[in-house]
Amino acid sequence: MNRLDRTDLLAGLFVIAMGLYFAIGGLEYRMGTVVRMGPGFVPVSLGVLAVILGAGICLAAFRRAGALPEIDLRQTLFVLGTIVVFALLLERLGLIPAAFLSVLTASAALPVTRPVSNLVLAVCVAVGTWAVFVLILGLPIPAFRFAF
Amino acid sequence: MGLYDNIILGFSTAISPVNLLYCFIGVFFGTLLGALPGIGSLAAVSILLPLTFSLDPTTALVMLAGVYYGAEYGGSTSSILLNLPGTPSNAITCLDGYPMAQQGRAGVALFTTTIASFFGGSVGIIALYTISPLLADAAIAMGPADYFSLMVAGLVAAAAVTQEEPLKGLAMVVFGLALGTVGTDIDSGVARFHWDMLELRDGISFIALAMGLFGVSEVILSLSTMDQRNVKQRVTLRGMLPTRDEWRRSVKPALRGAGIGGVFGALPGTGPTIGTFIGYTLEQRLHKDPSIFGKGAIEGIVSPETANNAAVQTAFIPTLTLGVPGSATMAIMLGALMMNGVAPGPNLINSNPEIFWGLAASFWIGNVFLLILNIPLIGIWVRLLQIPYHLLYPAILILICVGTYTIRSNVFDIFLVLTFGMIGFVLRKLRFQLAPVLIGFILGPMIEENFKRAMIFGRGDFTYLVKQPVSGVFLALTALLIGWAIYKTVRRRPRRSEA
Repeated sequence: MNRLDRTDLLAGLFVIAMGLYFAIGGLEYRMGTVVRMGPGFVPVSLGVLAVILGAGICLAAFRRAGALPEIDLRQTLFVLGTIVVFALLLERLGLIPAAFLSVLTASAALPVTRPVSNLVLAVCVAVGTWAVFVLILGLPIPAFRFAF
Repeated sequence: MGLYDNIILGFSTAISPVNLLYCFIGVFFGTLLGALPGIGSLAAVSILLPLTFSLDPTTALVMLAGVYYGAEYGGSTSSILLNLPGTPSNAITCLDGYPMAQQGRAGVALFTTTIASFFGGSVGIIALYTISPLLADAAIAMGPADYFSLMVAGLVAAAAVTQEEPLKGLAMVVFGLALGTVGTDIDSGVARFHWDMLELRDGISFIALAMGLFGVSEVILSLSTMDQRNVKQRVTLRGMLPTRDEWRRSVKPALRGAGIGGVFGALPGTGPTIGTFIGYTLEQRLHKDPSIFGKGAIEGIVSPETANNAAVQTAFIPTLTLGVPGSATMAIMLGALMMNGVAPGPNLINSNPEIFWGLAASFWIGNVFLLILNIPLIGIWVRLLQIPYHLLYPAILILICVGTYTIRSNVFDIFLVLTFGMIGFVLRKLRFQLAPVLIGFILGPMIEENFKRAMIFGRGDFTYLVKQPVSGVFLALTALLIGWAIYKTVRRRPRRSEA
């Protein structure tokens, strides 16, 4: 019973789910024919192809053993959280506060706490990105604003 | 125009102050990001892509290409000093480069890899100069059916050839193609898979896709491995020169490496990494005493590094002459061209000679810059390696976010990066290769267009695709590749047994 590669099984299921999404979603649009393809033709065919490939990956997974991958939840969530923080704050507080706060979020991904160096880093990165993108490249991003 | 005129045109384009400046910026940041372990050349190119958005297409490409080959040069530095490859294609350099560093000969290793890289790059550029115009001329005669089949073959090759698990590679191509259908269908005007979001009607932003798949997922994966390292070596200019014997031993591996790298770089799907592995293995086989490898043999760093950099340059041949990118990095180059309104394909050399020849000339200039950056200024990079990763990754993340935002001044694109960062991370954890996703995404619309045109030419006859000789050959090749992929999956032995 141990001959199952759980990672590959999950991988196959992912591909099947992706295929189903495009195949079923694509049915909403007109199919047309091979010669005159409608907007639904390509997504549906790709979706079906993906389901077949996904099934193949699943089947192959039963031929050998393998464990599930390990994921460091803390690191993953904080890295992704950094992007959320930046996206939410950029147009509300401006570039410098958004960059400052997201650097602090990113730093929290590692378990070691280094308050001073993190603050210094946050200031440097915030001022640095502002200098590169606004001062040098002249992009119209406000440095500070308050618009909630 | 003869080759001579074209070379003149190329250099006059490349030595304009703007292009020189951006070439330097490109190779400088390429070396910087490449030398830092945890940021491969692909991530480096994706991260710096937004900076080129305001430039004209030639300058943008000059800079991006500089980032790419700069990163491949720089990647060997951390292979040698830290035993951590800066980019995947420098991995094999660790085998003999790191032992050399441990023997106190890091300087020699760094010097040798730089010279080897320069030599490999030069051979690759000469191949680019001579083969590209011929290939483009041949490709101009191809009809839409041939083009369709060529792209399909290239796509399948990129997905299936080098992958340990070809089915998963093919699945990623299909995923990339499917992502390409998001947005408004050009023929019917129907918006597909838009999730009621206005922004998605324009399709998925290619930059957000590349940044998420390669930038964000790379940061997450590197976090757990990259935080402890230190460099004890002191590298001085004096200690960099190889002995006379080492020079002599390097000549043949360099020639063989350049040849191998040049060929594998130009083929879709193989690319630099495969070239370095084959180059290394070949040297080991040919050597009269194979036991010296892995203990600091100079042949073991010369061959892979020449192969690597030759491959990096020849990868541009199919990209620029056929419009078929062989790797994800090349897909980004094509994407950058298309964002600037330049149509890739066999007409590029004739319709935009300044882009092709200017870029080719900038490769020479960039390689000379790299020689300067990597020999007299090597100390800077060695010191840079001491920057701990916990100071780097927050800055990289912010750079990704700001860079994406600047393209359309749209927060939506940052959330798109987040989404693809998550998807990319999950996919990599499930042992998928992500390069085929981007290649499929870029080639998808072109494949569709050529298919539609072929159907018009063939008056709706499906067999027209097979009946055209060139197209038929490519389709047969594709069928072979797929058959081989299935065979390889079915015949695969259990990888490891678990008690």
